[in-house]
Amino acid sequence: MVSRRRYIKTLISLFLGGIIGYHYLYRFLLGKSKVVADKKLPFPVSGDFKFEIFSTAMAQPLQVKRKWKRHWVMIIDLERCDGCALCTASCNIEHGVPNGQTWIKIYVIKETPLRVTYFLPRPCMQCENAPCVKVCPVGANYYNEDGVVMIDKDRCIGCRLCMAACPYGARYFNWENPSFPAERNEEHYPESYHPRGVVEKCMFCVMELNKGKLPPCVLGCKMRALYMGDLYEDAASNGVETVKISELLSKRFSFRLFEELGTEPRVIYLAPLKSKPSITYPLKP
Amino acid sequence: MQETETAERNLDVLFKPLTSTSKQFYLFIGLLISFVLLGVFAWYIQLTHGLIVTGMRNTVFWGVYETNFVFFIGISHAGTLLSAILRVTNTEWRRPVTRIAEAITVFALIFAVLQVIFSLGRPERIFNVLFYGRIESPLLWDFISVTTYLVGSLTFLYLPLIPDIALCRDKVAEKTGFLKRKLYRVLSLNWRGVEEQRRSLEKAIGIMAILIIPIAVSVHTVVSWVFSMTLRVGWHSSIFGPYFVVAAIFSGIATLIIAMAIFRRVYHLEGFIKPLHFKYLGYLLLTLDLAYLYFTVSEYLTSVYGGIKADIELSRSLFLGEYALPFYTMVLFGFVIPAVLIAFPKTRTIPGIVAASLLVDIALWIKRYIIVVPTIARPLIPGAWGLYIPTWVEWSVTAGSIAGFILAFTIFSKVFPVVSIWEVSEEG
Repeated sequence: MVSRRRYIKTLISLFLGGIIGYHYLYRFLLGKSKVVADKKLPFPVSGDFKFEIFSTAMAQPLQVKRKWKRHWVMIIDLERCDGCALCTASCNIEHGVPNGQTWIKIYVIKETPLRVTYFLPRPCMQCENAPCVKVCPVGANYYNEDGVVMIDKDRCIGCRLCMAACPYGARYFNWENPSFPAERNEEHYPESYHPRGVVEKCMFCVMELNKGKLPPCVLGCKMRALYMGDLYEDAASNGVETVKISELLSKRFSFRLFEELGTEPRVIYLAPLKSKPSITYPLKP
Repeated sequence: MQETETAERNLDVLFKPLTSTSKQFYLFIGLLISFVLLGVFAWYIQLTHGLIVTGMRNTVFWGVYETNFVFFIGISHAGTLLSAILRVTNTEWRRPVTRIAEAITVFALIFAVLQVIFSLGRPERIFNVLFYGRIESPLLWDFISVTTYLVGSLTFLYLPLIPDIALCRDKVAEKTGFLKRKLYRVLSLNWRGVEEQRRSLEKAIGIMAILIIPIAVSVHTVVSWVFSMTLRVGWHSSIFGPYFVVAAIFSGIATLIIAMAIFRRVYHLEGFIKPLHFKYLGYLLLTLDLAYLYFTVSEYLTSVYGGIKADIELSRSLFLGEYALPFYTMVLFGFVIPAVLIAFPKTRTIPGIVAASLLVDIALWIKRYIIVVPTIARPLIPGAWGLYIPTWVEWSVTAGSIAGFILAFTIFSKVFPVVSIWEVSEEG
């Protein structure tokens, strides 16, 4: 027999527990978008919420919440990119990237079926809300102190769920033994360490960046289309010139890839101004 | 007097496989072992050379192993879920078939777990899941639910076995080898069949039967979530959980019917497993055929109707493109032929129902293949479709796994009675 007192007690504690549980669940689920919503907008905006978030972060004098030690971003000027893939080559050579992998890959974007309109280099986006980090069963994907998505290649079990989760196709798997010994090359660790059976990708060469060196893709680009910089410092460099990120972004239209997926990528594309006429496909009947 | 005589004769039939073994049996075991060895050899090659020996590459990075995983998890539902539901609803005709169903679950689950290990790039690090497990990861949900299910279904298989093991200990132990005798003695847990033991056993089975149903449902739901939690076209669908559960029960019943037919024939169990059992399970199979058809139609109709380009591309490749052959084979084998075979009384015979079940199992393997492969072959980012042709390594490991599953089941049937003797004799 359950006494009335006990029944009421149970009911009350269940109710309170429910409220507390719901509160934490709510915080857990919606915590991230709350932070963004209370920013003041410099101009009246209506409509697209997605655009609001993005424009505030960019148009304001970069009052980004200091969550990380540094906030590395890559800015890619699609107007300059001519699709030569020197960035890919430099990266592959410098890091001894295994066969079949392109940590920075050039996509040919056709905006209409007839014309190639521009090229789109795709490094790892270093998402702030990275799907790969979320799905990793062993925590081998993690954010380092700068918020860059790293892979612990000594912990990865090679399940490849992160490859399924990544919408950008930025992840690759080491299918075979490395062509040179898989020892840790301390100079370029972790990028140049390629043990078999784990997942790899671009890591923004974050170790190099923190030593004050630019990644090989940025240095290798002959069109100087790639900028690497720190959002907190509001400065980025393509190896030749150093620009103020806020100024660069206020002058040009910019976008991030698959903004609608909510991954918050760290790679910002400056939109191309015109299509690349030299590589227009011939009209097919 | 007449009654007890027939009962004795029946029991002898059930004990016979435990004491005598025919020549063909050894031949069959030899055949299975050779397939298993082939699989082991292929896995050895894969371990030494890396996953490069499979057909998987960076675009299509999952393939036959994941298909097998979902397939084995699927047939594992035969069992426990079905027998638990039949027990809870106190369905009398269940008695001779529950043991087979429960055993399928245990062995299928073990081989499902093996598929995941085959697929890993670093199988030796599997225990990282224990040390560094992250609860946010769908794979960890899988790990938790599958291990729970394994423990649960082992218990669920073992509990109703205890009185039968005690029977074996008392009746056939002297005719068997030392090892079996010892096994019976230890596993029978000093079962004497007294009223108190009986009561607590019935209670335990009752509790397990209720507990195991939500666990079984959660397992296949979570397996589907591994796919649907990603943002991929064709996977990112809220219907996946129930869709997979229905598919699992569908293929589970089919496997149960096949196993029943084989044991009935080989061990002469015609007196226990009757045409009626095939008929009832056949009806259940037909029901799930229709339920699965319903889910399939709503899944594909939703994806093509809106006309989103990525969805259309994927559907086109299934309906008209490079996956059309497996797709229509699946439709024919999984939906049309089984439904016709079971719907008409003329073909609703044991051979007809078993044929339908075989087709359903083949169709659902193909279905899992065309769930896994086309979706990852088409990346979200614009680009070329990936190509995937499984190599001999993957096929050998698959063949070895299926042979291993049958082998484990066969050995089980030589050690324990495949029909629950005490439950059958209680049938009233």
